[in-house]
Amino acid sequence: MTRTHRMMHRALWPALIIIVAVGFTLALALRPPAAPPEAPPVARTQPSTSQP
Amino acid sequence: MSAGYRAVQWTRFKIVYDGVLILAVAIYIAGFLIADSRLEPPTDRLTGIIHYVHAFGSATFLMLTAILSIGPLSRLDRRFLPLLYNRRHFGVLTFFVAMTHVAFAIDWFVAMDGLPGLAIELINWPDYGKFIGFPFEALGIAAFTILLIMAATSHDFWLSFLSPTVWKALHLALYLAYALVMMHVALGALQTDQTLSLPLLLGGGFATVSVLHVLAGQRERKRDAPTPVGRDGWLIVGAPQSIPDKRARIVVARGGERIAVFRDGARIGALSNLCTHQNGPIGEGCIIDGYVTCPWHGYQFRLADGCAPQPFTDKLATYRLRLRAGAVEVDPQPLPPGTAATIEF
Repeated sequence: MTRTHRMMHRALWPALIIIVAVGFTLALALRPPAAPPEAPPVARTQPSTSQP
Repeated sequence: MSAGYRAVQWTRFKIVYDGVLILAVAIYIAGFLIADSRLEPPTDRLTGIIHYVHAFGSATFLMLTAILSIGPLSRLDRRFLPLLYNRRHFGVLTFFVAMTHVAFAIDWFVAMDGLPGLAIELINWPDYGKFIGFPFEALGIAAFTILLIMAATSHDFWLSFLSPTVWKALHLALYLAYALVMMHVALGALQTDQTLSLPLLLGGGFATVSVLHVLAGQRERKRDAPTPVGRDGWLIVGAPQSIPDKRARIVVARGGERIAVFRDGARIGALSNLCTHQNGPIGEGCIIDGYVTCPWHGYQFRLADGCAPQPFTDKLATYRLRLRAGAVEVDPQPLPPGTAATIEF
């Protein structure tokens, strides 16, 4: 590798690490919470009191 | 090396390398599909396609992680050099695995009648201003385009046509592709997948590659420290016996390229450390059958004048040498490639 190529490597990687680490952490932190499991249907035990 | 055009110069090593790679990928894909189907049995065609999308997508990420680890690993430990020898085939195979991931993703959109929706999502410009909600497919398309360009230009024809320096600079885009893949998954699958395995796979892979590159970079920085110079600017290499037989000591002029000073018995010669093939580190190679041999792909050059053996026409720059007060000294100004310039002690 040429000297320039090595210098590019050394400059590129720290920048890439910071950008991706910040992006990845934010994506992980800001992801929406898991949807709650669907509640099983509740059987009616009392007749409705509301009147049409 | 080759004096003429050949599509692929197959060797036994390359065949074994490619065979092991293909087998490993096939085992991973099959294992992933079996495990995924047991955890979440496909209920319809769509969920079946999703399993394939995830299998080929995760394989692409792991293959990119491995490819990007090979370079620094072989800088840190020579035992990894054989992996570097055929890395381009690894890269091309990664492109085909990525292409299969893309094909299944398109199949999923087609099965959903969702292709027009995808197009609308990709040109919904306000979404590009969001972080969560960014069209992650666009990141995947950009990464895939880079992989396509790299696979298409992977052949030695393009290496020779573009020159090693331009070709290597172009192929640095793989780092960008890797970052794009990371964010493609982080803003896509990671937003709905609530398991620990995906963040661990992504974070662990990226951390591994990053640590290896930083370590290799630190090592190379130390090796770029300038070599002591005499009063007239010649670099002081040291006693002839301090150069290991059939190997080299690498010296560096301030702000200049590295110079490989080889010893072959009582003969000493200095060559450019940049192999004509891919700018590989000639000075980390050794003398085999009388020829200085690049550790990356085995390109060979005569120590006497830096010329490749017939019928090859490659030539390395050479450097003037002298013995002064028992020490070998090298003039940091290169001679025209192919100029004879060895000394004996």
